[in-house]
Amino acid sequence: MPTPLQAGLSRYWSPEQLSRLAAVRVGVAGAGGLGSNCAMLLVRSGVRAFTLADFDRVEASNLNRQFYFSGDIGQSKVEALGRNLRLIDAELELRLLERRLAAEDLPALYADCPVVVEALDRAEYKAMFCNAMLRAGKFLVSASGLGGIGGLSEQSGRPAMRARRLGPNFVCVGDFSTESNAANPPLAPRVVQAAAMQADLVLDYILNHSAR
Amino acid sequence: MGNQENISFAVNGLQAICRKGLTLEDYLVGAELEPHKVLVEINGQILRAEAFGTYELNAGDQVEIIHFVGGG
Repeated sequence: MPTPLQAGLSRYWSPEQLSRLAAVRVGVAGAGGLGSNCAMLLVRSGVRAFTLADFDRVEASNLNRQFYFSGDIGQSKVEALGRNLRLIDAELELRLLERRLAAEDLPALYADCPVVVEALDRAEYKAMFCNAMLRAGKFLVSASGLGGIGGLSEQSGRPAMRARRLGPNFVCVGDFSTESNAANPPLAPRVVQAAAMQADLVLDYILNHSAR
Repeated sequence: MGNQENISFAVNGLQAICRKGLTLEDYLVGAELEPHKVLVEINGQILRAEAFGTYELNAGDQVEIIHFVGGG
């Protein structure tokens, strides 16, 4: 019996597309604003296998933008995310890693993920992760610059988000300049916008560009 | 003065000039970019972070640099 989501998705995807989406394990590094929302969007789109990593626990300050609910506060992010994703599709194949990521561990942790999403918070972790994953031959989708509001208004002076490709296997989304900080806090609209751009790039890669 | 050869290359689509023999790491530091926060592509290929200190910029290099900012 297909799950309700799988039955519903058959209105939009062909059986071949559904099987391609189900055949790929997507790695997500970080289960905050980018990672939790990107995973949610990919589950809704038909991706069914994930490796999710985060060392952190859900806090009240996460509820403004991350795919968690008030009852999740205090719990492991990857555990709570797995539970929330399974409310969308009960039959997901999830590997949950409650841990910090070190460069030397990355190739083994994501060995069976041809596609990986960088969803970390600190700039130096982003760079470390991207350098390590590209060396391992992954298709990698990253994000940089998603704080604040107003990227679509000319008066804000803030650049609009876009995607930049470097090399054959790397795409980064964001405005590339607005760090999340006290002046430009991480807020749902632009954080989710970046996560949605990441999810769309992953889907496009799986369905249109990966080896069959 | 005058005996040092300069070369021209491109960074994120904009022309840049430096002395011949400058390494990518020297360039990054001079441009106030932190080497541990960047991803660099040169002529279509990602340059490994370990090679920043040994890669000498060449005339005509097309360099793309993403300097990550925090937020996730």
